[in-house]
Amino acid sequence: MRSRSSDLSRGLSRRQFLGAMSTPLLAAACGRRPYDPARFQVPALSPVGLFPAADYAADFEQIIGRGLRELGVDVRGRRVFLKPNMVEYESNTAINTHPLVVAGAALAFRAAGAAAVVVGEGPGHRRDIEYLLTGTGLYDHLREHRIRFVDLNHDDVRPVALKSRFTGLDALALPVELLQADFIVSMPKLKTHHWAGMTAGMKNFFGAVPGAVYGWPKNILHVKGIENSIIDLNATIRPHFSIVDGVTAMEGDGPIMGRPRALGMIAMGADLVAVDATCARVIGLDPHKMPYLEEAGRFLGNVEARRILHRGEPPSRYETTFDVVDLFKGIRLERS
Amino acid sequence: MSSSTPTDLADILFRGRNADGGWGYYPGKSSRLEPTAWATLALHNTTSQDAAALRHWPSVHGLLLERAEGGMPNIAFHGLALLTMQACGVQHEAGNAKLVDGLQRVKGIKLPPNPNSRQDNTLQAWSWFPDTFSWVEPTAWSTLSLKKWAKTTGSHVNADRLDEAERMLINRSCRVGGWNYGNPDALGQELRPYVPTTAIALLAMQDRRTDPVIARSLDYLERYATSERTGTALALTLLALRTCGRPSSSVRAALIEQLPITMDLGNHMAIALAAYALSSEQGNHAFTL
Repeated sequence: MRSRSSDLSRGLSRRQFLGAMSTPLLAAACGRRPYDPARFQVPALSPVGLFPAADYAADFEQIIGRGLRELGVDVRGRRVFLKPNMVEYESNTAINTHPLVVAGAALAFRAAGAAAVVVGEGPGHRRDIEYLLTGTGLYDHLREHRIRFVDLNHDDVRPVALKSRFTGLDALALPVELLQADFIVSMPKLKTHHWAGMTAGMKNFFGAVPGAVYGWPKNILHVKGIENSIIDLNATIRPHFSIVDGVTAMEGDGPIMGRPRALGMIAMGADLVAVDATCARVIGLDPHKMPYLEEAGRFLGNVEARRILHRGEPPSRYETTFDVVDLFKGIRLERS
Repeated sequence: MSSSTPTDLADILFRGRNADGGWGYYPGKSSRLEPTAWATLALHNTTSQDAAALRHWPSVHGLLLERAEGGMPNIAFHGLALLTMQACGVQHEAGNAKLVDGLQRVKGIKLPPNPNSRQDNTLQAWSWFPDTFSWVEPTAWSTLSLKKWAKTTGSHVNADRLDEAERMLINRSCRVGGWNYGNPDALGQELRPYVPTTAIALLAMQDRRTDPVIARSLDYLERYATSERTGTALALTLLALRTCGRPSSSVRAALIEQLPITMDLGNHMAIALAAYALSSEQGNHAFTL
């Protein structure tokens, strides 16, 4: 018996649920795009780095520092905000971004000249952040390295007009400390997801929506459609970088109930769509069959493999096939 | 931590108070309803601190807003603030009766059955904010505040609303007892209860302890009382066990042991909650029916 990322507030079966979520995306595919294309520019090419980390004994400051250099990241003088994925604490699982990866990233950004590095998260079910920080062990690393933590569920908020309207919402109240950052870094755990197919850098921004305003769970995002919400949050927040914890990932009934699966990599890049698309291909999922990635590929970043430049290790080094729940077996990649 | 701990906690709260008389969740942050309610309760218990912030807290249609500067109501925190005002003898400028009316007018939306869960989605209790679905924490605080209002003022409250809210809480309880945010099962899997949410729901259902679900949940809380070692979880558990007449000395000791971390993280809500729980040795005046 475990807790699960389940928001059963829509009264729909999972198939109905997914169908309902896809409706605005389908509308967009028919030409009614709920965003202004002039406000977005997809890069011609998107570098994505895959770097080896066999286990959590690795030196993540060194690994991530190497990635920042090879990807040409310049954070000198900038305020960096690291947004890990912390959902629920249970020992011996792969639910959360590992605290050593988070700490390593903080040290790497400091070494790269960042003016300040803070870590922040707003879990969607557990509103007691003390429980997640101490349970996961992140609290000890934050103290050891004097890294400030921001509780995104309870930070001051500011209404922000959404820059795309897939959800139909005009605005969301978002945490001020996140909005004030110069350089926002998504730091997800790579997991299969029973509602969205996969969760990585883009889905991670559900944790940016403040629970004190919207409640626990953050029902509004599910009611408006998970896929729609992923796109609107990313179009609005415009994160600058993604560092994916794929050292031990999760397969099967993620994001909570799945099984740990050793993958041995850290994925990094400035184009979150390209990083997520690369992660999907590595675990045997077709990004074009995930509606949020396919739609994001039209205006937020690159999904096409030919537009992704690989740095570090080639994806073939890590390619495998993750187990997924039955509903998502149809999004598996057909490898040639 | 010495026996002067409640004073230490109170000092943090005094230092963290905003110029408008309220508290943010963290020092330097703008005033929010939930930490302001808990801090008012904690300081009233120790120093009879003035509660002007709650007295003048902005409201719309009888519902207190979540932020002092505007925005949406939050129904869970509205219920908590109403309990606080009753305990501290504070009259909101709109009149506490109007806040009770406002609470009784809003209800969570009804949804069709969901084949992925056994829960009854037609039960309408209270949501986090208007026109959304009912969840455990807002329902528990709302239920308790209406019960307390009826008991202390002798005023009539809508018994049908309370009955449906109690049925909703019983329906959403986990198989082993206790509650999480509000889904007892999903896709054939039994989901795990959370300690702090269970404590809040038990405060709301303290007068229904003969119900098998409530008895099972109280047993669950007693068994796992110190399993979630945080200021918030331990303080809420201490309040719930004491209110329900169960042993709580080990929880009190665990809370005192945890305080350095809770104080280091600096969440005013958690600090105020701990201060209130540790100082209300004679009973939980605010939450006892």
